[in-house]
Amino acid sequence: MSKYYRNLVKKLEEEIKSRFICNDKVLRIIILNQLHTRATTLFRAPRGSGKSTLMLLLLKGIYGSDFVVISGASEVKRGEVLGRLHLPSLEKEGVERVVWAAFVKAEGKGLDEVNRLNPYTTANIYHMLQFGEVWAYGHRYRVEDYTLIANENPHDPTTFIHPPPFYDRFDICVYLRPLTLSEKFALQEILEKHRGELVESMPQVLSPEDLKEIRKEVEEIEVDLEIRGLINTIVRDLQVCIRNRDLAELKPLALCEGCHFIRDICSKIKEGPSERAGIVLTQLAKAKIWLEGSCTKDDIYDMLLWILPHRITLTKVKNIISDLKEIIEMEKVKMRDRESRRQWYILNELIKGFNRGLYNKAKEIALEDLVFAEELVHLEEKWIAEGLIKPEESIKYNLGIELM
Amino acid sequence: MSSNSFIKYLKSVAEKTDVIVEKNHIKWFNVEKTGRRVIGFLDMYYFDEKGDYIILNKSTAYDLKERLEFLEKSVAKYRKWLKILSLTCVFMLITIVLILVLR
Repeated sequence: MSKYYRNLVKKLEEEIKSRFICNDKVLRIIILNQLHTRATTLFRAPRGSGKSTLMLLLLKGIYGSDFVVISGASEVKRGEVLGRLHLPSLEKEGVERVVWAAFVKAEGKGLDEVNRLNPYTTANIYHMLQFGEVWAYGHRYRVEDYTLIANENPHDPTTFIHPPPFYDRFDICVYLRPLTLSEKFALQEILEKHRGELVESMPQVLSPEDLKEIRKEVEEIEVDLEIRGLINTIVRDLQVCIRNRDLAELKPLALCEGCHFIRDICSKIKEGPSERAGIVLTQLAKAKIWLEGSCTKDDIYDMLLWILPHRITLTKVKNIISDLKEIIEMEKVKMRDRESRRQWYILNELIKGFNRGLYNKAKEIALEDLVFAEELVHLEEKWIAEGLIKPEESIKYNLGIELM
Repeated sequence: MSSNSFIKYLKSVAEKTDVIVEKNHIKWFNVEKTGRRVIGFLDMYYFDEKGDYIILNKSTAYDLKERLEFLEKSVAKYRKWLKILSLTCVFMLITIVLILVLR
């Protein structure tokens, strides 16, 4: 069955590709992200770049006409997002019954112009994404599996600034760009071929039942330990700060003044990603293994670019995508340095037992790598308690690392 | 530190690491990649070593040049002798045939 489902997913991708022009790698990431439960995708692009078209193509390809789109550009009422009171029941029986909104009940959900949604609607959707349920008039509705695809142009006027935790609930955030000259010709050909009806001509390739089975299969895929190690190390690299920036009043770069790690990746990040970054990367890795048979380290770095833009705040932003690419390149160098220092081997030996020579080497490495230093501090606490080392010689004391 | 999968991860990385630990010291060797190996001409000639590039120093190159010139001259000299001897053989063969016929 897997092969049959894989062919369906590839067909969905082909059908979209024949109607929409974008980078193949970007489209593949978008497709991969639909293969896990409660998938949420956000497109960001300037107006007229086709973000709404892509959203509709995806929803139509999976759910046919059985999906609901809420537009932030129009006046959205609570009853349209969550539910409304059933007035006859209230008048005749005095009972408050809720008629749940189609948006809540539909498995295929679309949010057009997210940044123009009013804060009340956003709060309700946030609750649904966070807890998988919605509340109205004291009644609760449990939301089952769904696919949520949203889009926005963050530079549009009349924009509401939504809180970062809301955006963090989106698995990936893909940036679309305007078409190049040759792509514009290709678009004209596509429009002629489909008589201007790109969305209307899109067939339903998958059924919700197919998607359910696919998501079940993807969930059961096991990710290689080395890839999991890479994912966790990358996410920690982007989170870690020796001065605990998450709890500090000052934020980088002011916080970084005089810091030993000022030239490291951490000084480029004001707010690091949440643990969801690691979870989503693992889900994408599973989907890639399911669809293509393998997932390499380079694939993880490619995916990282679309995991981060909406859940990381940089100290200086010129262009979020090129800035992130720069950080990812730095991350690759950092990983190579780790390999050449054989640091995980040394840590593994130190976990087995204390060795003075290896400990001295580990202390040198800790001055280069904060993630390694954190793990060494864990061991030092044990060794100090056992009297193997003195507190004042520890890396915890010398670097001032506080693990809470 | 207590996570089992983290310990497993460290072990799997450690297993792939070529490191030697001696008491309090740790050492490893960076293996030279042999994709573009360079060797000397004499090593290639006398020790039959294999390489992608072969280096020849100036004196060896001149020695080789002299040797080649000497061999070229020898070849020309022996070619001349070969022609004379061939003609002598042909002449003697004709003489023998004539003597036999005239008898």
